[in-house]
Amino acid sequence: MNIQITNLTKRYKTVTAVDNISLTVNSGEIYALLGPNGAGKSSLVRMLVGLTQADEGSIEISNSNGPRPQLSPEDFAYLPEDRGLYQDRTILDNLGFIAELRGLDKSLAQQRIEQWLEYFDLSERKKEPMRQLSKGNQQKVQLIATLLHDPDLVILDEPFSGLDPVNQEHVMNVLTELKQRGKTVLLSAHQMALVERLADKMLLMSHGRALAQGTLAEIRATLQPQRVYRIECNAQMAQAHWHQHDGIVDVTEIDNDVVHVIVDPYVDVEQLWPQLNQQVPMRSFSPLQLGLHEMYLNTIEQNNNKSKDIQHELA
Amino acid sequence: MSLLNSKVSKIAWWEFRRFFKWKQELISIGLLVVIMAVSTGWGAISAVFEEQYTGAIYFEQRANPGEYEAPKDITLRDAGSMEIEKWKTKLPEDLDVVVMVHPDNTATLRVHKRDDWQDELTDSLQSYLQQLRVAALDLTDEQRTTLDSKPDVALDIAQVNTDETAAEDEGSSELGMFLGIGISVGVFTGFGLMMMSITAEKQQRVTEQLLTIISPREWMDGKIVGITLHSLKAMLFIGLFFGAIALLAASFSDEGSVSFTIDLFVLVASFVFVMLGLLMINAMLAGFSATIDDPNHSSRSSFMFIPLLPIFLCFSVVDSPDGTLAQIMSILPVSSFMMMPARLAQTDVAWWQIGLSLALLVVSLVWMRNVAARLFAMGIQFYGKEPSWKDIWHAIRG
Repeated sequence: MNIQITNLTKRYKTVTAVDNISLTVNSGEIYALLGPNGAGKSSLVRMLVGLTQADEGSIEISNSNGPRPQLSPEDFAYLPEDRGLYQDRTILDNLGFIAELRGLDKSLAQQRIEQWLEYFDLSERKKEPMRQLSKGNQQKVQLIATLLHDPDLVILDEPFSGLDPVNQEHVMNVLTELKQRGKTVLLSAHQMALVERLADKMLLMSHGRALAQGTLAEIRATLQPQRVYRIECNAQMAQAHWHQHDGIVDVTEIDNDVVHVIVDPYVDVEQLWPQLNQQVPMRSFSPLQLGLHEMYLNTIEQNNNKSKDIQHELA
Repeated sequence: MSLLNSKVSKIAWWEFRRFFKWKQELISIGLLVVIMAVSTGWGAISAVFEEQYTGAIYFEQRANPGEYEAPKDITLRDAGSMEIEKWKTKLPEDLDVVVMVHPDNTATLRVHKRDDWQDELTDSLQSYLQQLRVAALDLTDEQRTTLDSKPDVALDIAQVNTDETAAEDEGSSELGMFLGIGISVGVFTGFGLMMMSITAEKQQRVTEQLLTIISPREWMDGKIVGITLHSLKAMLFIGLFFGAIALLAASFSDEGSVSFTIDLFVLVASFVFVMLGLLMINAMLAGFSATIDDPNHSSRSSFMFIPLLPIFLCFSVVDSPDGTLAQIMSILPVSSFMMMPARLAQTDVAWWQIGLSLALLVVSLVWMRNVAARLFAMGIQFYGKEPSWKDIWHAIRG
């Protein structure tokens, strides 16, 4: 199942929740929408599953047989961010009801329910009402309800929220297995360390806009054009001397003997190191790759600073 | 789309089961069985606990005193003149009553204190002494027969309906009132369950996931059918409950049984009207509920009482089934499902009125069902807040 989103925009009364977003999800990929609360991830997902309509832009769906006019309930599964099941009914009742609505054969549904409950260690509790389960266990039941009909496209809005690290790994394994079976997964999350390990491609969003998208390497190239180095030296002296040096963007003191140095992308480091070493002797240096989380935070901070500057200039 | 496609029937059954609590149902059925058992077996139960009274009877003049048969809870033995003389000064403790029958066919009861059982004995003695008085008269057999039998009083009901044909009273206003109470119970049941069903789903956050599987219309249709089944179940139960109570009340009274007859056409037509009406009212309630986010904090909850107003108005005209107001209310869809069955049970209703009423009810149901689906589809777009009256109006207009 392929998804092609072009220039999608959704406005509410005073807010533009999704602002001119385009993306492509190919069959068999795990695609992640990343961003903090309010970034526009859920609004984008809701338009994709047909719960809300876009003000501008288009969503095109296709599979091996060609383009499809829209997603039909059999094609996809959706785990909403705003989720829950009937609290006064048992796990089995809830899953049975969803399976019935999905049109699953009764014996097949029963078999799949048992398998999933076994996988998530919930078999013993299948006759308990939902309200007696912890939030994490309720979340697992909800995920089972989502995947029961084994769809080609799985859309998960914040699938890791509310789960402990062990169950986050369980969910990661489920998603990896889905990918291996050729399913397409689109998920939104703010746990970037998890997504970094899982997603083939991603879109980083802030205030409804795309900050960067593509593979992790492509994102890194977009968000971290400067090179960052970890250098062992006298941190105080490095801060005092290197800050003003040509080709140095920033020097951050990590501790007394370590600094992180951001170097301008156009500078030849082979020529730079001897100059720096002359000012402050270096014991060692190594390139440093920022994680998605740090890159995202840096970018958000830079964006905020830029907008403050603009506001200041306007004032 | 059919009101009962596969998904709709699954949702309807789910909704029915969701509010069907076995424990409560069994308690209700148990209560009903106890009332019915008590009412049918009341004669035997009361016989066990009935107080028995003993006494003596003395005929001052009659030769064959054994003819008088006292009520079953009073045993009277014949007394002699010596005993009577003695008891004139003091009534013995082992006797509750001494009956003295005088030559002029009057009687005196001598008792320790006044009590209710003496009324029954007094009535019984009065009937017996009246027979003795008649027997003492010099009458022919024909005159005696005339005196023994009650005169006929014929009931001639002169009623002219809209077809100006003679009408026949097929029931009573009590039946209409009874039906009204049943329908009110059905509507109140729908009111409570529909509100709970829709707002609880919003609060439990079930809505969004299900809406990617089923359409708002299928969901609403399922709810309307499922909750209507509950309304019908509540009506059936209240009918049986009142029946049992009536049986119980009758077993305390002299009549000892309750019976009424109802025409098969009236029964079938009433069922159709009531079912369609409940579906329509529940569709209306579903639409209202869909615009409410939290029933504890919404001022809109009180508006859900509006559909109940016409039903209460029906009570005021239910005993005048041929009045102008009753005829109008039996045609308007908001009240016809109560008023038309009430009229059918009591009087002849013109065919055109039945047809028009039914047609309007069906059209209203279809329209209301569509409005409910549109309101629901609109309501779910408002995350954590309620749509304004303007939004609601737009959704109603489609």
